[in-house]
Amino acid sequence: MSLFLDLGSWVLFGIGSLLLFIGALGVLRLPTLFTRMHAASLTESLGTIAVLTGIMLQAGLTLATMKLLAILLFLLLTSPTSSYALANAALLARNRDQTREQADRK
Amino acid sequence: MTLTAQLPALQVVLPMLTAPLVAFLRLPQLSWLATTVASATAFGIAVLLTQAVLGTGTLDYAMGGWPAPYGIALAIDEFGALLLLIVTGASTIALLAGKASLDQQIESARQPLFYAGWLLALAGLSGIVMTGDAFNIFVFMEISSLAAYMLVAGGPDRRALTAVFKYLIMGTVGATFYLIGIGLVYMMTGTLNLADMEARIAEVADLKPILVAAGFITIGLALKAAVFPLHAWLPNAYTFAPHAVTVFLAACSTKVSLYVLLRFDFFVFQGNLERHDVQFAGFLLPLALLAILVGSLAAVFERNLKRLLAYSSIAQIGYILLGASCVSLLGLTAGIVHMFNHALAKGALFLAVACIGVRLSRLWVDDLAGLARQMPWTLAAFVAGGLSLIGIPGTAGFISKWYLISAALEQGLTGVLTIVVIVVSSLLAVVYIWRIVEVAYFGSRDAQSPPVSEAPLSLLLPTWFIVIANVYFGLVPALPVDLASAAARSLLGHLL
Amino acid sequence: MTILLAVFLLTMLVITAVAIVRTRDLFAAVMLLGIFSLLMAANFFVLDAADVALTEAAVGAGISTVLFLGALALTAARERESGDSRWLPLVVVVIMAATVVYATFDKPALGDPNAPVHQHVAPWYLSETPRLIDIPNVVTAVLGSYRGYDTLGEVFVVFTAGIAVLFLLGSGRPGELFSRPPDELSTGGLKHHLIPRVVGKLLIPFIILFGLYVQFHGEYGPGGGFQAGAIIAAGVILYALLEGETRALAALPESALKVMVIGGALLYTLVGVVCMLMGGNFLDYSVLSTNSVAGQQLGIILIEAGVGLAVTGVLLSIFHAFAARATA
Repeated sequence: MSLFLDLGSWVLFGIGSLLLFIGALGVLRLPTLFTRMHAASLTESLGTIAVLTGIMLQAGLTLATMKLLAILLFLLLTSPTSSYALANAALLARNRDQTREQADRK
Repeated sequence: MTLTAQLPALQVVLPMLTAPLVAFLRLPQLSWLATTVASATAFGIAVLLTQAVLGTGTLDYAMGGWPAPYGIALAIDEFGALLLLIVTGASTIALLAGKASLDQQIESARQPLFYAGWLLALAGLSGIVMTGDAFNIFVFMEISSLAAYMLVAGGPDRRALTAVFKYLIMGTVGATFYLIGIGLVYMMTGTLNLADMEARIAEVADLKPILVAAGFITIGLALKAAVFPLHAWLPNAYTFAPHAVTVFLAACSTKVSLYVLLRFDFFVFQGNLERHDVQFAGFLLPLALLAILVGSLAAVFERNLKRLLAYSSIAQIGYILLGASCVSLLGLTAGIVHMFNHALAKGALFLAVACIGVRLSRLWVDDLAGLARQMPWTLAAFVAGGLSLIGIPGTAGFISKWYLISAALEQGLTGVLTIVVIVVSSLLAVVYIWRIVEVAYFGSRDAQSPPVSEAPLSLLLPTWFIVIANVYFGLVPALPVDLASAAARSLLGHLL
Repeated sequence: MTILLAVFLLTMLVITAVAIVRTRDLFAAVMLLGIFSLLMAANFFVLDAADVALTEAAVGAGISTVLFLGALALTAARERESGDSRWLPLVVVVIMAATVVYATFDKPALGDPNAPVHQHVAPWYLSETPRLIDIPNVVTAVLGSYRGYDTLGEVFVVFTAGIAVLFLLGSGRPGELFSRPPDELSTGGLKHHLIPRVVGKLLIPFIILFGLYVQFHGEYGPGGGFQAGAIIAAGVILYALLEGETRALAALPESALKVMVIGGALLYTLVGVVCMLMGGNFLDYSVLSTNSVAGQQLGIILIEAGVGLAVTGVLLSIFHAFAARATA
């Protein structure tokens, strides 16, 4: 049984790490802010779920798992929200720059 | 537990307890009154503590009832008692005299917060003086520094803010250096209590962290004490602060840092580090001499009255260090006595400046032209303070110069150089004080400028009280000299 | 493994520090400072200093970032090019760094049980605390009781900072902490952004709850008044950012903040004074109860409450003072 748990958790670790790595690569390599955010936010969510679930499998049914669940819940709530706030701020900044450019052209 | 036994704790706790009560009062007048009463009570406690120290020697107090290396201990010896007298005395006089001046310079709505800051500065400075714990010194240094930044920033001139920013950056760097030093010492000894540190440092004294710690602590505290060449923050901070704040801070804040410097160096390092006394003297003596010369010269060429006196303060810090760097009984006595006497002389001078500041908005030397006719009492007080600063016989300043020269005479060849510097800088002091006297007494006032009346009595009385104290301690110097020589003995006792 | 992690974190720390020094964009510098604090907190955690890590994360990465942003709203967002040469400061810094590195040559190895710090007072704290104070978290015992006077000082450092900010940025009306933002301006917040508001509303109660947990759990695990105060203040600041100043001030009005600031500082000091009146030394909690251990525990709970109140009150007052200035 524990062999399967170990195996499962290691597979999850692998998937999670790979996803996070791809996300980081995307942040570095993609051309614009929005595409970079796209890479970061998507992989981050799934990667975190995978890694945290992997740790939960290691921990078994203990208090630690409950804490990990709580952490996962909060991360799933906050990280998309911060992505949203970031994108929104970027959009506002771009709009402001565009209106300024238009004003300059006039 | 009798009340007397609790006095060491009350000294700090009383202003601390009053500060939150004062901060949000709706009546500015009441906040001034409460602050002054608290400060005067603190002065009373300091007097009682001094009596107790003179009677029975060092007072110890275990905070929280925990024995020394585990808990925090307060330790008040003669040196501490003298500093407590200076700190609480300066605060009380500055508050009593500063009412009129502060009412002019601080909007009444912001006064309660201002007085709360004042009490915190008082609590912080007394806390530093009383404690026998290295980290506790840092905590109270933070309180007093933050409060001092705020007090200086209260000045009406907007340039006070840039001055205070410089003061803040330099002060923070100094405090951080001190903290790094403490951290290194703690790493090697495992203790924060100064007495315990002295005992435990002997084993590890020749290891590198201790050497570096000695350097960091000395430089950090020298920065806080405005020792030349680390004095850049001081002139503008004193110039743009409200006048009453200048009286308070100029009289005691740098001296408290010097006090920590001396206590640390003599208690913890002198007896343990090899050849530390020679290095200490070799490092500080040139700085002290340069401070005296550069400070005095800058004062001679300065045209702003307050900045002139601030540069003179840098020179005076040099005198204190000069005494200490002799590493002899007479030298230390001279330095410590000069802490007290300089507080008196500079206190009188800055109080006279506050008197003038109530009537004049600009305080350049030229603005004082012919002022002696309109404000005879103020200018007379200024002259008396100036005489004490120069060191004319019969004033407090003479006593410390006398001890300094006696200490220098013991030193042989370097002593001669020292005496030359002292004489030259005294002459320079004559020059810069005379420049003001000449303008005020022999200049003539602009016909267009509005007439000026004598400063209010509430300001003049405390000013003259300090002037008379200058003369009194010049004729009967027993109290400060006794305290100082006892302090010097206990500092040197760690060398034997 | 731990060493590897520590080295990685420290390297990141150096990179972040260099980036902070080099950037001219103050906004970016503030964000980098937040990252710096988080890395620092992770470092403290690696060094097993959980209490310090918690404080660093809450204050360094949370509150001070918000305060820096509040200050940036009042100033320019870019640093002006200064004509001063940067060589002298660089030389001084390099010399200082070399000195500190020199100092580490004789330092005891990290975690060496024979190091002086583990040989002198620490064993006494560990062996005597169960008998004298009887709480599991010795750090809290040291901070609250053995070195309670230092902690009192730290509370007053925070208090002084608050007084200073209010003195400089305050309303200029007696007895008032800060000027109230004009209603039409302060409706701001993120009213029109549904996602942050909904998520924020979900999170804020948990943040406050966690703050209270940290406050009252300080005797058993990492935590205490400073951390709790910072966390609770962070929760309220989040509310103010989402719903606007006015709503936040309606939830926790100025008068309440004033009571917290004064009350917190007074509570701590007065516990000490009561100890004096009952015949002990200042802050000697043993006399508070007939049983000295119970007295110590009572004293620690009371002073931690004072710390939490004062820290929350001061941090929120400073935040509101900045915010009111920025909208005015």
